[in-house]
Amino acid sequence: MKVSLFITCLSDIFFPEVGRSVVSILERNGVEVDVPLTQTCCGQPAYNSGYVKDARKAAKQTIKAFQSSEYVVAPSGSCAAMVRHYYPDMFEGDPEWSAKAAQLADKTFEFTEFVVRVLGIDDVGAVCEDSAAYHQSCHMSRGLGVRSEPVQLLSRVEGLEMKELPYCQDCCGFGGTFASKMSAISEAMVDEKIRHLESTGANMLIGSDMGCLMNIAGRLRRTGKNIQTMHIAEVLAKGMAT
Amino acid sequence: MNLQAADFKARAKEALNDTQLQRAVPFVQDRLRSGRVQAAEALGNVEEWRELLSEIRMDTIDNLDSYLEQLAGNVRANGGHVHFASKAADAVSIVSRIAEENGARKIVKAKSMITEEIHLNKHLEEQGLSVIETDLGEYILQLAGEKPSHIISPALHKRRGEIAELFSQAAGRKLSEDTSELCAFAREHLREAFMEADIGITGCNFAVAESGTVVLVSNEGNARLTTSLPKIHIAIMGMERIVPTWNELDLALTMLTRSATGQKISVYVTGISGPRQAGDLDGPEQFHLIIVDNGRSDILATAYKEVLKCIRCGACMNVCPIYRHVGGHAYGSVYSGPIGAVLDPLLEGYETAKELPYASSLCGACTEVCPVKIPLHDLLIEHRKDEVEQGYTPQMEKMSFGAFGFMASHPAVYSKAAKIASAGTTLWAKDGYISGGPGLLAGWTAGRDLPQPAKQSFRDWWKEKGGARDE
Amino acid sequence: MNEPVEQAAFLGSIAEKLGRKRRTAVSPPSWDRKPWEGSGQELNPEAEAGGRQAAEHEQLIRQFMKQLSALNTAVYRISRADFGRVLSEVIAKHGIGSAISWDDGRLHELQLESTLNRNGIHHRLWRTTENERELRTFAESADMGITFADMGLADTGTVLLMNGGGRGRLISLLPPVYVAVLPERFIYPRLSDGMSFVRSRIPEGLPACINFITGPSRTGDIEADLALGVHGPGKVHIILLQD
Repeated sequence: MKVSLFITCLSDIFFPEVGRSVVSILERNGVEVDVPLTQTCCGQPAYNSGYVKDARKAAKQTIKAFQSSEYVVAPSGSCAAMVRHYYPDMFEGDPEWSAKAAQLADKTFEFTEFVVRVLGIDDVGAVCEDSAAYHQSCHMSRGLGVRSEPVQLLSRVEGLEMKELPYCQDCCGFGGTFASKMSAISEAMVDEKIRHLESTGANMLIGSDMGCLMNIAGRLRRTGKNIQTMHIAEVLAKGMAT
Repeated sequence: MNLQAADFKARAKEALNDTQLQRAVPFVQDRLRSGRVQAAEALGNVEEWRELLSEIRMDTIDNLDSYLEQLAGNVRANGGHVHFASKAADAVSIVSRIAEENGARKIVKAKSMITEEIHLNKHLEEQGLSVIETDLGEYILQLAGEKPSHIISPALHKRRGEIAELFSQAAGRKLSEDTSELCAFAREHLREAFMEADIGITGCNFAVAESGTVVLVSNEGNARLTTSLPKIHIAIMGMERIVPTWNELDLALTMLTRSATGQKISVYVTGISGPRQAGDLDGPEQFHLIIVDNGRSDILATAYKEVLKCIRCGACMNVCPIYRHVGGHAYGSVYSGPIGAVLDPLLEGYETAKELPYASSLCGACTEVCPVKIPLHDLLIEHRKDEVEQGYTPQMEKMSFGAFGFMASHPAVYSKAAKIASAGTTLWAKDGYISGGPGLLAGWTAGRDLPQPAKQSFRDWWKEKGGARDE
Repeated sequence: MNEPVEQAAFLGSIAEKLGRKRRTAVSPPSWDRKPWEGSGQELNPEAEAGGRQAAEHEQLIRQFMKQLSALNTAVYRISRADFGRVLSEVIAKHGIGSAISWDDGRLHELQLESTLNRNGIHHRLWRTTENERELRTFAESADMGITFADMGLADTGTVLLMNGGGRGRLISLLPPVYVAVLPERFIYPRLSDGMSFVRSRIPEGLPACINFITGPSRTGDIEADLALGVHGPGKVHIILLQD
């Protein structure tokens, strides 16, 4: 099976270790991974800010980059949701590109969704002696309907004690440019998220979207709180026999 | 009080510093939303209900002229008067005229968002009429000189202590903070108002076209008192608050109360079909129905049409994290929360409400619970598109996204930018983190650290690993 | 009849914005799905009263009672012969001194007035021949209001009242204690049945006021703290008559 990794801009630029973890997990499970280097950003920041024309440019580039791929996997629920739900909308009235968009939408998966639903694996053989809570990111859970897959994968990690995060369905306050444009409200939201996180007593917060994690981690660091944040792929890549 | 819709951020900040509000809003919000969750679970197939009600509402909007014609005909057949008001001012002057023609002096009102929308109280008071809000929450707000901050629970931002103070002032004696003592005062005081009122004004939860019936939903029964005691009843409805028959009302009601508070049904669902009939000893002698457009018909021809499906349950504000932290008043407009952020710019224009579509992290919690499946967060993006197109966004932002579009469609440039991102941010970075900077960076770093871009991007690692293709 | 000018303009503008000609006499599609049939409660709203199985109806009655007991409402399931005794209990419980009731044959049959007299209750009927002001003032000061009910809905614990004439709407509203009398055979599964009942009355003309009542008047406007009886009755009793 061949998979093209849609690394997404945040992981590409800020968190390359997430991409490396995804590659190692997929390869270990017999998947041939490639990374089309003509990919850029899914265009979500522009789209969500109302700049559709600019977003379309990014979308066309993404569509072209993955045109010949069999499967496209992204370590981000938000970017996968963008491709799956908004790409077809974005080219409404343009038969050529909307067909191409639909094609990409059909073969694009969020990482854990791909591992569980397509590969049919729920135990990747990871080991991680720690306690953690899981953050359900909004676009992934509501937009893609992917809720149980990451939890399922984490439940099979040896040594990992999962704590239930209260109010897990609530937004962490990231929201792309929202965090910058409405920073005061966003801070109040992330502070509440952190209060709930602290109430679990977990040492670590695991998520599937680097946007949310960057937000929560940034606030944790600023407020001097010692809770680690990790992308699920990083956790799953841990302790795997190399 | 005329709230200015501009300066959302300033009001939000004020709300964030208001310790009363910070305790009150999440407290009530949690109660309301957990009620909805339980009600949805009890239904077991809430998606089917949402789907069907959404279709029903859409059919109603698509045939609104016909259903309204039928409604008007049946209200008249029931002996009621029907008035059409294109604008807020028309609705207000119709009410004024009815009051004047009947020599009315005292008015009691049941909670109604449409009367807030047309600023009815202010106008009637200027005319020298006494207007008393009879919903307990609205009554509290009237004493406080405030507007509702929630469409179902208008005074949810008020704490017990403030209410006791307001009631003590009105009573002219010291009342305790005990709910039953406060309520006893309200009962006595409001009863008097009901018994003396000349006109009762209500909104309309749903009007049933096939029988010319105005349906009012309330837990308190104040809508019943308002429509039973005064000689004149005026019901004011937004033109989209209509259902074709009692069959559709069944679904709409079932979802309204479950979505609003989690109740299976409200204590009172009252169907008013015209004034009292021959042989009746109670009920109003005159019944007026005012059907208000006030900008709604303009929405019909736009991408926002689905917002007219709204049945005003408030479920979206009960799950909204923005509403949770800033409350309803921060929106500076009649409707707050996600529905307000969609509706206010349509009713009032971007000049005053342009910030509201950005008062959302687009988390989609609102869309998920909407009982009529309005794609609320998508409509917020739609607003943002329109604001960009109509030039309401800053030039700097426009240029940034222009540059983004260029980079995102030129992989070589993008790659290069990714490569130099780390070096380019060293100016603001310390120990691998950035805690200040220009533009969007400033907003982010006001309360958060940002990791510095990695020294080696993923794509560079991949190339180094020798996995590159497509180049 | 000619259409009033404002109405024509108003509706014409809607049609225009919808991008089509005015429509008239549109009927809603017949929605073939009934989502409540897939819902938690195993109710069969299609069944006719006569055709319903006794066991099924027994289940409805229980559900009706259970629902109301969760809503601060007392339900008494009694034989007609026990009506006087049970009403006397309610009177004693709340220290009732005065009462007003519907002028309704179904209540007269239960010897309501003699029960009230026996208990020394100052009592009036909502008789349409009486002076309106006086009756209204009496209703406002009465301790208890008594009505019959036209239907009960099991799913929600609702009673349906078709007001009008001697069945005044204020009786169930003004006094702090409200008693509704309902034959248990009038209990149907859910709101849909109430709606069908109302629809069936449209040809003969609906009363000016119909009420679906579910428990006591309540509010949560003070810190979501439940308070009963701020506007309407704070105490509600439903007397179910066995057949």
